[in-house]
Amino acid sequence: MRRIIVRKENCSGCRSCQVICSMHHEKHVAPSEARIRVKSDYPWKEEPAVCQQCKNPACQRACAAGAITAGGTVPVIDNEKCTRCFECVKACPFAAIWENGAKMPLVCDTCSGQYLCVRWCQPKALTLGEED
Amino acid sequence: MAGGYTGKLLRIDLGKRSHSVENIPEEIIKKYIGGKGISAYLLYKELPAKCDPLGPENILVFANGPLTGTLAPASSRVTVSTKSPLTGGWLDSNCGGFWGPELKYAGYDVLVIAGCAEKPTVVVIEDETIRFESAAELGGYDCPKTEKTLKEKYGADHRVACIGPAGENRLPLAGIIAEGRAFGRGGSGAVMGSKNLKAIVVRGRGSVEIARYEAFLTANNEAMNELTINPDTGGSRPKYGTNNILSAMDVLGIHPVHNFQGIPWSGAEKLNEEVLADQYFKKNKACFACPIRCSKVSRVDSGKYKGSVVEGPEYENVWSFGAQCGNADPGAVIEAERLCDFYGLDSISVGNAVGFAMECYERGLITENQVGFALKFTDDDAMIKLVHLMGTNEGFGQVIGRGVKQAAAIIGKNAADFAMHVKGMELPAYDPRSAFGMGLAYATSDRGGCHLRAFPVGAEVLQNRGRMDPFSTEYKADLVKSQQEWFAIVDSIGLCLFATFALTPRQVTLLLAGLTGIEEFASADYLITAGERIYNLTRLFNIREGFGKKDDTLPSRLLNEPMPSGPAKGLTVDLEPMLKEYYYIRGWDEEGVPKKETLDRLGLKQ
Repeated sequence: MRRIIVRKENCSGCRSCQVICSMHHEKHVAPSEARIRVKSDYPWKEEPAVCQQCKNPACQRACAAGAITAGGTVPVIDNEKCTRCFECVKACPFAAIWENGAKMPLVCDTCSGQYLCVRWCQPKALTLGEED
Repeated sequence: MAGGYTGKLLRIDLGKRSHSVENIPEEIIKKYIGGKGISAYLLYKELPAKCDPLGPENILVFANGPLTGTLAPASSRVTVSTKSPLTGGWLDSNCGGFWGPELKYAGYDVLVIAGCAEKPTVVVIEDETIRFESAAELGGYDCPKTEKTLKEKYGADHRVACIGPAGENRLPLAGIIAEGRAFGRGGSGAVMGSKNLKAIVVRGRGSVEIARYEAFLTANNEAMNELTINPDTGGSRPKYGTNNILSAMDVLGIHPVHNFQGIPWSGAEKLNEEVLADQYFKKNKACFACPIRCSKVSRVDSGKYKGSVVEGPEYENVWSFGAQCGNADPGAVIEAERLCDFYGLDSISVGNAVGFAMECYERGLITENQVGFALKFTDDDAMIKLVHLMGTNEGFGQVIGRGVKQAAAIIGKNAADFAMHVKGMELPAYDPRSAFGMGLAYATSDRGGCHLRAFPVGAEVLQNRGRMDPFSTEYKADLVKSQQEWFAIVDSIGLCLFATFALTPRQVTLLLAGLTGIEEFASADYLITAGERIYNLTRLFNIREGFGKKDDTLPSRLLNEPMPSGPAKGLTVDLEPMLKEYYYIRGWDEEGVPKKETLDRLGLKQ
């Protein structure tokens, strides 16, 4: 399955991924609304977190409302069924789902296959691959 | 409000522990753009003439540009402006990293800090919540420890700009440090210290709006392409950092040696870009939204500085703690730059000042007794010791930490002849005898000895290909004036100057017009005129503080001592004809005062 491969050792910590992600989804710049986020521990560590498209997704198992469809793909969350309990946020082993106030949890949707964060990542910390 | 701007100014009064939020009128935004421009407007309007830079009347203005915190490449910059305690004149100093963008997400284009806090204070800005908290426990903390403590207290997502012991001691060479990046030059850290303000912590969860989404995205695609195919921003700078020019500067005779004495130097082969990249750079680091990633995290793995880690070293510091002090050990450069970030010092001025002290020592103007140790060129132990003394404001550090101009006055005799500064600000890493335009750039820089108000070295030698003679005065006035206009705009829109090595006014206007939706910003002419307006306004500020033609000059060494070696052997800077032409094309009178018709044309009042 095609997914985003993260090579954190390449990450420069610039957060262009967060900017383009929020732009694509929200039509403005708001890194705190991004579906990919970089955690930094100055000066050595930069860790981009984004959905890894698990085959046996913890988010789906954690969702008591049955709102999440996933498994080898990014999770699709049903807005009607989601109760905003954010158990999926706690369950994700990659910490790649985020709370968003009263709105649906934020998680990668691949920009409908455009993977814009990958396109804007200059140091190639994010690439597309078929790795498991 | 136009896209890119939040339209809000946050005003904090430390004395009253109060704050207010003001709307920034659109006409002011159109006229002064943001960053440096809007700060010049505010400081000229609000600061009483001849106020004490370290007194309660002085204000600190932090200002973002419209592009700050957006997708625009290298859009990390935020400017601090104030009256400089180093020069007594205009100061703007900008910083990359993440603090400026965070301030914008918190909802503010501009942050004005006025008054003095009664006790050491930390200001915490979390969106619309402003808190004044005690900094008692942080007293004397170095910058990394201050940042770490505050991030642990408020959250890892919070961004910190702070001062170290140097700022607390109000040293004119003190800067403000924001997580490895610095508002370095001119003593903004001392102003912050005089206000009893230890740190400003910011967290923003808001957004920046985009006026014309598709146009802005297209402009970004074009800008990114330009940056990627440019041999500097897409080639040598990502690989070697800012030290990418060291070998060229050395060969061209521009790299100053032993406090601008111009003697031959063999250290370049130990400090050049290849050596640093091969042996010291461990990691690439970028400021906000920057594809260039010129920042490097370096570590010393052997020798007496083993274990020293710094974000850098930058070209300027490889010079200031290298050739300027006769040191060729990259480990010592890294340790010295680390100490500057640690104590909160301007690493250009500090290295310049150490070299100055070394020359004074070798000429017998200061003694081992005064300094506490021998201070010879090439002695890296002495260099490091003196940086420590400045950082802690002890012993001879109390003299030299005031900057070379004030230190020369204290040392007396003919020490002023060896003080390499303009208007009180220490010169950076370019000897203008090898590129005359740089001499005019130094002499007419609004904040004093600085390479970032105009950088003629680029056109004179780096990208020259024989089109311009670096040893001639011809065309230099035009070159410097046009760069000062453009750089004033770059410093006002929130873009890093390095991005404009690849981006032309075409990409910049497309980015600005797409983001803001302000029609006028689509015109390069309009922006360049705004740049001219800003540069004239900082000139008016300096004139009000007593500066004039007498201060638009260079250290006597550069005007009177012929270069002893290298391509410029036998030459001095022929400043006067360039300055005369510069005043003329600027529409300033023979004393360097803007004429009434010039101010009228730019919509300025004295």
